[in-house]
Amino acid sequence: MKNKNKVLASVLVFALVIVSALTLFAIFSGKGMLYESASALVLALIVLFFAVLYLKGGLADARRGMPFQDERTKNILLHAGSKAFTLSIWWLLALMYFADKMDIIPRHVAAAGILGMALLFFTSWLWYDRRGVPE
Amino acid sequence: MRTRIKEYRARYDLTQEELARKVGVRRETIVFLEKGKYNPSLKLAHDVAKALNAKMDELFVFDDESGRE
Repeated sequence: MKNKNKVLASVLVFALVIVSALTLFAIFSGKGMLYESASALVLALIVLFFAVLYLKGGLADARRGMPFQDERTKNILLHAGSKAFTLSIWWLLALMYFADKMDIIPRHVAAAGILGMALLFFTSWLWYDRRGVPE
Repeated sequence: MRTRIKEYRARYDLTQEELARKVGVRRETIVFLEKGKYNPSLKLAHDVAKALNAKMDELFVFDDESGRE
């Protein structure tokens, strides 16, 4: 189980490094669209990878007679959503500040905002799923 | 909070998965309950106690600040 978690974390970190590098290239090189498309593709693959893992686990449980969602998983979603909302406010404030300073085009700012919010939700969900929800 | 779910589960020779099926939750929920890492709702605590033929206060033990049970 611990090895599986390490593999998942490594995949996530590796993918995020690639996406960050591609996004930075898209912003600072003249070839914006090419790197934008590449980072969008990598992002889509990451989302697909984790969605397949999540659905596979849930469906396997459902086949064995256990529910796909229960009280704890609903609690986790609730806490993760709440935490991600709070953190997103700080993220968007920081983004507004840096967008102003670095003169980034609005489309990239919007993409970074949405991506950041999604990542914050995913990270919060993972955190509460592994560590448990606070009492 | 600590629980005696594992002890009662062993008494009835139930696996975590079997108990999860009886109660209608995911196996991970039973894992977290046994570790005392999840504070269940009254309904879930009742369902687990019923599935293990135990009273709720036998299964879920709350230590107060002075360490008394």
